[in-house]
Amino acid sequence: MSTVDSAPQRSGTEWPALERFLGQVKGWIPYPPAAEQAERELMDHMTDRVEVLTARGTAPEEAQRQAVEAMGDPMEIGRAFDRLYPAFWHRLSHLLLGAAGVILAAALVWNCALGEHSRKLSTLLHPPGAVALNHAMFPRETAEPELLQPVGVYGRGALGSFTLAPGRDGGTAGLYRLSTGEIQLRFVVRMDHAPWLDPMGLTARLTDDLGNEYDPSIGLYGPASGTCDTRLIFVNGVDSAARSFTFTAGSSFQHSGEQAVLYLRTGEVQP
Amino acid sequence: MAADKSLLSGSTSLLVLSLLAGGDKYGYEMISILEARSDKTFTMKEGTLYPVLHNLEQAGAVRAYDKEAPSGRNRRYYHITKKGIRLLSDKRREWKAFSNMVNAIVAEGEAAPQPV
Repeated sequence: MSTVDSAPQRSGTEWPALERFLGQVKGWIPYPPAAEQAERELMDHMTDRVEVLTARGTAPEEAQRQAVEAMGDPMEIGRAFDRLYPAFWHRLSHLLLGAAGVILAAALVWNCALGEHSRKLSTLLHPPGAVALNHAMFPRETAEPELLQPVGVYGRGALGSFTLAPGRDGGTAGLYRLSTGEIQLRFVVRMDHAPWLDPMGLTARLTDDLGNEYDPSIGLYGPASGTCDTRLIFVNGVDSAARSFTFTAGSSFQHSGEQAVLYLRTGEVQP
Repeated sequence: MAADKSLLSGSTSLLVLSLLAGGDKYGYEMISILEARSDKTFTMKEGTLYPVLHNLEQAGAVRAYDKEAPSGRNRRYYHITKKGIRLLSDKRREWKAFSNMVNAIVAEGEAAPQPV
């Protein structure tokens, strides 16, 4: 066997006949990665052949001619590669990838940026007079509760794969008087979820400046997507004398220690 | 004497897999061994070797990898896989059955009386 590992490496531009042959082969391979791979292997092969021939005393030009002749028909080689790596599938895969990206982007825009419009769709999907609470349906207040005073919600917090922030939809955050006479605190929170991180269970509690502690109810407000949704948070029976509240979300994993905190102040309008 | 190329066309995969069964090789190395072992009887067009190798790679019969030669030049080596070894075994059986059949017919032709 003749090997030429010890021969000095030469660039293809020194051997124009080899370059011409490779150009003819590549002309039949429209899929660029396949064309590049074919070019590299064929060039290496012809380089080996030329170096063996020149080492035996053949003139460089004649060695090139013989190396090209030994390779065979460039059209036959190029078409054989084209059959193995058809450009049609290459183009189709790019097209499908692009279409999937457009659909994904449109879905995210629909669910996140157009929250108000999405909520209207949710109203159509949910029966009137009911609200989704933890995926169950609960009766909605038949009479519009009386707004006693608005509540400003502030802050932003991260909790594992979730990010919590005051929601923009869902009506005025505030203290309401229900038809039963109870005082209800209600506000909405936008929850963004990073789907590439492990989801975790969440716990929530609410305290006020008077030292009272409440167990808030959390309902899904509007449609949810894989990356964001809006949660309606309400607590019945809050102390109407309280001037500020603290909403704390934590992990249901007892030892994680992570918390996200939002602050609420009465008498202020949601910024 | 150079062999009829059409005899080679259907058996290139068998030859390639047989060569790789003896160890990893790059394209030019395979051609050189083929020429040396057959005393240059096999004069296949060398460029057609590479589509055959890529076809075997797509079928999972061989695996390609780059390795730097002592000269510093990177070469693309081919390694026969377990699937390739099974394919080689099948192709060997096919080839033996085919050659036995051809030999039998050729021998029968030699024994037949010549036309006057």
